[in-house]
Amino acid sequence: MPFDRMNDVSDDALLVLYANGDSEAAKMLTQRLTPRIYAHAHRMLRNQADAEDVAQEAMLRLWRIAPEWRQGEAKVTTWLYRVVANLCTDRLRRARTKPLDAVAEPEDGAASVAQQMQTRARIDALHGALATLPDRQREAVVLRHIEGLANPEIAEIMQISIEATESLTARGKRALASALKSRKDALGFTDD
Amino acid sequence: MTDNKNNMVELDALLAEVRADTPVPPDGLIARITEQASVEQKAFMKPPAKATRPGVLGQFIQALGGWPALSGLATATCAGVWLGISPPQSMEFAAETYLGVEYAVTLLDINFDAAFDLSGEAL
Repeated sequence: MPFDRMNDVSDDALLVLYANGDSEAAKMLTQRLTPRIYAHAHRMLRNQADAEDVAQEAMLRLWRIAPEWRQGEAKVTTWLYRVVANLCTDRLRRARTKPLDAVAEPEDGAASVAQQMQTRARIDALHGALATLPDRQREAVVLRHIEGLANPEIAEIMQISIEATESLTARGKRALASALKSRKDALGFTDD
Repeated sequence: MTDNKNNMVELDALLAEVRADTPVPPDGLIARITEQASVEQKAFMKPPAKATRPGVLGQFIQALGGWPALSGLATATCAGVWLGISPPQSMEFAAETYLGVEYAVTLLDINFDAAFDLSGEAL
C-alpha cells in the first residue's frame, strides 16, 4: 500500500500489513509510534540514551510479535506502553542498585533567557518530584496526567482494575503535590 | 483546604507545561528502528526450505515404517538366521516336549552297509 494512503489505517491493521511483507507499513508505524514511546520512556527515565534504548527494544519486540498479532484483540499502543513500562521499571531498579555518583545527571535545557530558564527549572522540579514517587504511582501519574491516557487504557497497560488505577493516580497526584510544595521556591510560583 | 486546592491548580498548570515539553526522538532513532523492522521482516518472510522427495529406496524404507522399523527388522532377521545355524539345547528340548517328535536333519546319509544288507537278503 502506498505510504501516503496509510494515514487513515489503524495501528493493528498496519502491523498485519507489516507481517504480510509490506515495508511501507513499518515506516508508518515507526513514525507514528516511536515519538510517543520515546517521550514516555524519557519522562520515566530522564535520560536520553536510556530512553532511546528502551524505545528501540520495545519496537523490536513489536516487529517480532507481528506475525502472531491478531487484529482487534489488543491495541498496539496499549501493548507498547506496557512493554515500555516494564523496560523502564527494570532500568530504574537496576539504577537504584548503582552508587549515586554513577547515575547520570538529569539533562539541562540550554535556555538563554530568564523565562525559559524558569520554565526549565519548573519542569525539572516536577520531574524531580516525580522521581520521588514509587514506580507504579509515577507510571500511573505520567500516563494519566502527562501522556493524557484514559483510566481504562492505563488499567490495561498496568494490568490492574480501573478502580485501582483511579486510586493510584489520585494518590500519586497528592504525593506529587506534597513533594512539590517543598520545592515551591524553585518553581517560581507565588501565593498571591 | 484552599491551600490544597491552590496546590492542585498549580500542579495541573505544571503538568500541562510538562505535557507541552514533549521530548523529541534524537536523530537517527527512527531510521534505526525502520532498519530493524526491515531486518526482522526479511527473517520471518524467508520461504521455508523446499522439502526434497525421497528416492525409491527412501520410499521403500518409509513404507516399512522408517529407519526404526528397518533396524528392528534387521535385528529379527539376524536372530532368525543365528537360531537356524545354531539352535540352543533348550529349543530342541522344547520341540520334543511340546510337539512330541524327535527329529534330526541329516544332510548326507552315507551308510553303504545297509545297501549291502538289502542286496544280500534279496539273494
